[in-house]
Amino acid sequence: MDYEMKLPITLKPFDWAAFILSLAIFIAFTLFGWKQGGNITYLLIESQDGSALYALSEDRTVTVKGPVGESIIQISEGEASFIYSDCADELCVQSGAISGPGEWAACLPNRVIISTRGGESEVLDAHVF
Amino acid sequence: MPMFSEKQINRIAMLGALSLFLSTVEYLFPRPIPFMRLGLANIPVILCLDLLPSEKGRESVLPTLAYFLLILLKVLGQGIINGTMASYVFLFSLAGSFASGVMMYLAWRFLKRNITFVGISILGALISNMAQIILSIAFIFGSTAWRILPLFLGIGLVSGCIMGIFAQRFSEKSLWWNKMRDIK
Repeated sequence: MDYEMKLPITLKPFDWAAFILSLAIFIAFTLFGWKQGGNITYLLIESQDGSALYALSEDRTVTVKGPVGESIIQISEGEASFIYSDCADELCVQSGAISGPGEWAACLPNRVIISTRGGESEVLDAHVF
Repeated sequence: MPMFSEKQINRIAMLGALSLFLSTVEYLFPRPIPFMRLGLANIPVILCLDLLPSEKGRESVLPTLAYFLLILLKVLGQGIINGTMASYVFLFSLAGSFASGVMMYLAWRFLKRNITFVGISILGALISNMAQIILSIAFIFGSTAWRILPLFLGIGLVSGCIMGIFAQRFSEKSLWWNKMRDIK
């Protein structure tokens, strides 16, 4: 018996095309996310009630309401994280803390997204609840 | 006149049940990364392409309509298993599944000679993610949703590859599947 090393399947040209297209779109959006970053100084919290910017330099706890209940976001030592949410799986809490460019965390059931925002260059068009 | 023959109904039901079972298996899996999904339930949908008419006038196991019916069954199954049936997540899942279903069908139909289930599955994952992100930008989260996209696309590419390789291999090697492919 001879054991050859080979791929379990034979790929065809459009398989590679699909792979490369998908990879290119992935890289494009990743770079886009980083580019928007720069110097991270704010946390943007978006929920059904609107959006609000908070300085990452000030420690605080923010509670927002969504369709399934409350989500609690903690800003501490320049990082932000979900510490509690009224959803079933708490994926948002498991996501951990965010602080760098292009980072985000979300509680999808409760429709809350938090993301990092840059400093002066960004136009502050958000309102505080 | 009935839309499907009894044999066809049986095959659709079989694939639908397989999809429901795989949704359950997926639900039981721990998620190493939040939001990560393997997309096991998509395997029957991809395999179903094997049974559709590939050229006009040629006899096939299932009509094209059956493929879209299977996608509907898959979405319903996932909704029941994940408990998202009564939420907006369900509508997103429906839109994503149908968008990727159409894409996979077109890729299979028109690129058949030059593509395997690997490429088809990758394209399906890509379109499903794009459709869902566009919906969430339009209706739920606003433009911040763009930031979620890289993670979803990355996961989709990896899981799309794995599911595609599995489907291709299964379609080539499985004796059971070869029997399903028999017209009689």
